Amino acid sequence: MTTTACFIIVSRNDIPIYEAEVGSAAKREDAAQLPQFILQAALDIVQDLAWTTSAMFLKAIDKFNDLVVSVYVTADHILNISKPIHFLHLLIRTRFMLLLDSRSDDGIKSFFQEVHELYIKCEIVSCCNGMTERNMEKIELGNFQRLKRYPMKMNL
Amino acid sequence: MEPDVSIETSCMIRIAVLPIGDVPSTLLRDYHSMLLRHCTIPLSTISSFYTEHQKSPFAHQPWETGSLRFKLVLGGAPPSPWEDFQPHRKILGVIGICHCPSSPDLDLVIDQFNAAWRGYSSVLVQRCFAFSPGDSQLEDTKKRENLVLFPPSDRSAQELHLQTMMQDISASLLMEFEKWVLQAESAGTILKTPLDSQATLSSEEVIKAKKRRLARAQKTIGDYCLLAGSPVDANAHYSTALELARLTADYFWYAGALEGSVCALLVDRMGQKDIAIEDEVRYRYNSVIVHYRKSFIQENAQRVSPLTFELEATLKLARFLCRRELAKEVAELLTSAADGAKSLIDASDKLILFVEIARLFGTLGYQRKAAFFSRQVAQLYLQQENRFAAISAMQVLAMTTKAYRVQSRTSISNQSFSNETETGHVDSGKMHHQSVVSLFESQWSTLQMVVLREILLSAVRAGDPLAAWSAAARLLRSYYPLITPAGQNGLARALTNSAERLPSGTRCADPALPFIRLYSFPLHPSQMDIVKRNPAREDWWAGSAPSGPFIYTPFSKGESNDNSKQELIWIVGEPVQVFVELANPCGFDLSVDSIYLSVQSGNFDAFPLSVDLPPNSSQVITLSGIPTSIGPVVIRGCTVHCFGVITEHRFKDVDNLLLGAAQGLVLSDPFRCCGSPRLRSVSVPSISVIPPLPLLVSHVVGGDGAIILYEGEIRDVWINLANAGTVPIEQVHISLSGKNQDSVISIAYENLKSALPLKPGAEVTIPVTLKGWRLFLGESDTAAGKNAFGSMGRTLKDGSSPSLLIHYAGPLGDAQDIETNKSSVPPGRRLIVPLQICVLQGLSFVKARLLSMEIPAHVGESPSSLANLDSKPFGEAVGYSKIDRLVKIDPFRGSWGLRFLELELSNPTDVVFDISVSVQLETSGNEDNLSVDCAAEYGYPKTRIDRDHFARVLIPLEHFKLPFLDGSIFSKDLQSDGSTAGRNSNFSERNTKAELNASIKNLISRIKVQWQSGRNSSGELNCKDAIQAALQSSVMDVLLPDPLTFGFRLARNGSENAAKLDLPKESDTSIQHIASKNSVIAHDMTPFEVLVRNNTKETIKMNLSVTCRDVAGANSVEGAKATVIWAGVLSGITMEVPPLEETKHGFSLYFLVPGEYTLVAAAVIDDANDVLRARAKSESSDEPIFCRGPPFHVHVNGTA
Repeated sequence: MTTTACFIIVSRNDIPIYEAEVGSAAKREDAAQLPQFILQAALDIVQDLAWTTSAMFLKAIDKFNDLVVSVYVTADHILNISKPIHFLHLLIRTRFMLLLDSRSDDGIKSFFQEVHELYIKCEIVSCCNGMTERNMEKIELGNFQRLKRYPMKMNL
Repeated sequence: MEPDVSIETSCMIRIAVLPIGDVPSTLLRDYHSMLLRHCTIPLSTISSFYTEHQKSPFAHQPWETGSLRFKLVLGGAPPSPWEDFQPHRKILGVIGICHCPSSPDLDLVIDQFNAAWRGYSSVLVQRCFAFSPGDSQLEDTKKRENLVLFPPSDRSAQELHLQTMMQDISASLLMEFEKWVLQAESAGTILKTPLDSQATLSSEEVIKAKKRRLARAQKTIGDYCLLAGSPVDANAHYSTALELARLTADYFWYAGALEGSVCALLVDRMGQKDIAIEDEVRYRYNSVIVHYRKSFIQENAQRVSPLTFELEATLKLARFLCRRELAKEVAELLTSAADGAKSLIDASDKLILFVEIARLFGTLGYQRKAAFFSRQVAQLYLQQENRFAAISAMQVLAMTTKAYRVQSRTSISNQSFSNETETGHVDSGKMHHQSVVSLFESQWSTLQMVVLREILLSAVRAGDPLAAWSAAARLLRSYYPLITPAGQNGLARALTNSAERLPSGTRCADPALPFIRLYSFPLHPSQMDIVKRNPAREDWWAGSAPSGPFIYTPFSKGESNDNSKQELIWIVGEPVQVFVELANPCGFDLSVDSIYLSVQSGNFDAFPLSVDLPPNSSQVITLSGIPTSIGPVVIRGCTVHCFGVITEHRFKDVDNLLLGAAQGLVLSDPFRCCGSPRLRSVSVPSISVIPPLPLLVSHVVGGDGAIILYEGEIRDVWINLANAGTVPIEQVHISLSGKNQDSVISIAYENLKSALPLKPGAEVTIPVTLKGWRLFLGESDTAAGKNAFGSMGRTLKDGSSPSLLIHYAGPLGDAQDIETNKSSVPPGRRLIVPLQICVLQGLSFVKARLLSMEIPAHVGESPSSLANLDSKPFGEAVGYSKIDRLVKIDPFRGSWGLRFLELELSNPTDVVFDISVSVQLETSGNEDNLSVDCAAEYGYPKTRIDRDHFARVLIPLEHFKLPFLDGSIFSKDLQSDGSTAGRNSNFSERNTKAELNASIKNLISRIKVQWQSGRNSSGELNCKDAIQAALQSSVMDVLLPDPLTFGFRLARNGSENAAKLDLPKESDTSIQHIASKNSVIAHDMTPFEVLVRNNTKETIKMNLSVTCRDVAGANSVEGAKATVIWAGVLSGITMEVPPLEETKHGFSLYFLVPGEYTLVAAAVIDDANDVLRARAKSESSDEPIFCRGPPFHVHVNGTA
């Protein structure tokens, strides 16, 4: 089974902070960045959609040529109460975006939940290690590398 | 598919606008735009052109409110196979546009027009509009069908004319529609679409078609009603059609009729915004979409598909709903439309679909989505391998740059020009963090690079070198860290290739390389300082700002100076410099053809410079220029001519970039990756240009290099001052600053004063006398180790040299002007002439020692030429042996206890020094005839000290004795003694001490050690302290005479000379002088006289004894070593010598053996007073005070 999967974590400033591409499909040279283009464009839809629902998992919100964009948006409204905890601003309104050429919402949802957990752990660890606020925009998601296997697992 | 479709498209009459003959494209566009204003013709206005030939089928035509709508298609369109299905796809009218001046033959025009409109089979009305006809054409009264001449007139008249013509066309069309509808109602026309089977109809098909015919006819009549502007009629027909179509399961036509009914609904309710209508439209359109989808027939899917209608319907609905509130719904519609794209067969359909989707997303405010689909469009264009497609691709991609944040500067500046001019200078220095983040918000660098690469590719294909250059420049500048060196080289080549196609001097808004930042704004060099002038004061420069070498002084803090915004004053016509740093972070050699300051204010001539930057390097360069007129100067950045194109590199952009880099928002800091250190951002100061001022320039005559002086050297230097400005100098003042100011002995200030006013170009030379200062011990040590040049550099760096501060100013200006406005006084200037004095260690003084020497005197007859002898140089006057001359002591004068000051000097330098010592004698009018000016007397030959050698110079301490022994001198000693203090209390101690000190000083100051090196270096060795230290211990011995001095002489003819035998008052050593030319002969009674002089102020009684010895060694006058052959003593002579006088005592000796004899006189003083005791340094009062004279030699010749 040929699959294309692209996973991106986008910060609240719309800056991609993590990218992972998993795909066994042979890529055409000119379409190499297509998944990223699709995900970037989907942000427009996410930004409106996120306000209309309280759910974190937005299912398939966009698609292009059989590639389906699934999005998971972390909580946003905690901003006001959690000001003193300075790393929380990194956790809020972060979007996990997954581009897949097949959809199984349940699998994707559980994947996102795992990622979310892992992401929070990473953030807290990096904050506890005394990273300055400035550096935190560009977190080194070393631990995140192991996320790569999740999309694969899910498609099995 | 057709572009730009909407629900209302169904009610538009399509008219082709065709150029007939040769019409310039600009005019064609102009005429077309005139036509476009008349796209909607109200029915009320066409009634005058309308004649009802028969009963109109449009029973409910709204003549008051309705209107006809046109869709003008410039250049026409190929016939669509779907014309029967949707009459609005038909070209129902043709308007020819003819430009008469370029097509003089109207017949030909008509022929061409007829040929043109006949190409469209469905045309109902045709007109040819001929604009700007000539007089001959107007006069041509031949009636031509369909040709309308527009006589030349003003625009409004022409538009009125055009409007009338359009109304005429509308009326004609309306009548044609009526005709058509009537015809269609009566005679049944078979309406077919490509969807229907094209093969010969089978019987079943024929029956089916007959059934469907009625529905289709009703639908078509409805369409014409709609075109005729009668929605109510249309709706009635559509209702019938819908019923019939549903019965015959003709889904495709059903959907078409439904679409028409929606259009009729909207036209009928024009201008009403009703939720109910919207819901109705949404409902019906969803149904339309469903039915189009239903009409999909598998068997002819390869040939034709209703998919395009489905997609068009989707787009129509999306366009209808396209509002922010319904974004989700619209986005879903568009997503599903986009999904359909992959089933589209025709590439151009796909293109149109994506264009429409992109436009709708753009309208919705989804810029990223719009950009995404625009890029898809561009990719479709790029798949077509032709130039026009590439141009389209390039243009479409250019629209996406904003969303991907890779905009060209041109587009940004067009948008935000007005904003920038308002706020640009207010807060350029500080930028809010948030806005910085927003600058780099979208960090999708991979995507950005892809987009830029595609723009580059399409621009190259489209043959637009400037766009290609701009894209390559943006790519290289923003993403160099992500591009491999090979890729960077490729981009550099692309830049060069593009530039080759551009005319030289092309400008591009997007800078490429290098990165340029402001390095520093040098303040005025110290030679050009501007000093505010206070005309009220004589010292006008005082109190004004730059008063020292420091830019910041804590004392001036009270003044309101805002450090963040420094101010700079430039002067018209005087070149200025600005330092900028260039960085080339790429892996190729960057050659900047020219770079100069980009000045917005236009009052600055910048000088271009060309620079070559090696790979991964940065370089600080100096850019210069000349301000040309008064006013503020605004420097925005640099203009760079690199890769064949001229670009402007603004400092602000790089500052933002660096700020972003510091916060980790940008990929890389180009300067840091080139190894340049982090620099705090330098803001452009506010610069103002003032009118010309005088400019004084200085140079030291004979070269501006360091003036090398040896310690103590005195030399004149000439400083040439010239007015290099264009304004005369009227005021000038010279002062000194810096260290070692005392090294400047004199400045010929008057020379300068007298030269005022110094006209432009005039110059004046002023001599300045300098003296090399003393190096300190540590300084001299290090200096000694180094060579001259090394130490020169060090000395200069120390800044130990003094500087001349020359304040000068031009004319004050108009007197009235000054009164009215004090600040208008042109400022003065300050020139700092650093005297680059390098003091080298010259001759160095090692130590001073006091030496004693004993040379016995000879006894002879008293020489009559005693005084004369003394006044001449020794060796010259008296022809004694060579040895005597070298010794330079008159053997007949003798010398006992002669003291020399030995100065040991070393020469660590590499030049030769000549030392000359002079002892200045008092020239006071003493009776003493020996007191002569010393220079001649003690002008010892020069001593030469070679490099790296030591030398010793002996200075005889003669002529320093005090005239008499006085108790006052001992006051100090006595006091310390304690026992005798009381008796001397009558002396003023302080006086005497001062006297003594004065005499010591006097003594020392009379010794001058002067040196000379080479031709023009000369100076004086400062060794006074050393001499004083050397003399300190034995100053008494040097200065004080013995209480008694003794002398001998032959008394043969003594009577004549006796009067002249006064002892010199200031005699230095206790020598009594008896010269003898007549030798003493053995075996002869020789009369001698012993002379005793009392040097005290009291009479001394004594017991004198004279000893005569025959000694073997010449020098062994006394002591144990002397081998005494014979000795005899004449003793017991009692004498009394009055104060300061001398007494002689005659005696005779009879020598038996010839040879050398020595006579020594000695005396025991009776009743010695304290002064004598003190002088003799006796310890107890009982001790006899014993005085002994120097030995005198007597040479006794044999009788033969």
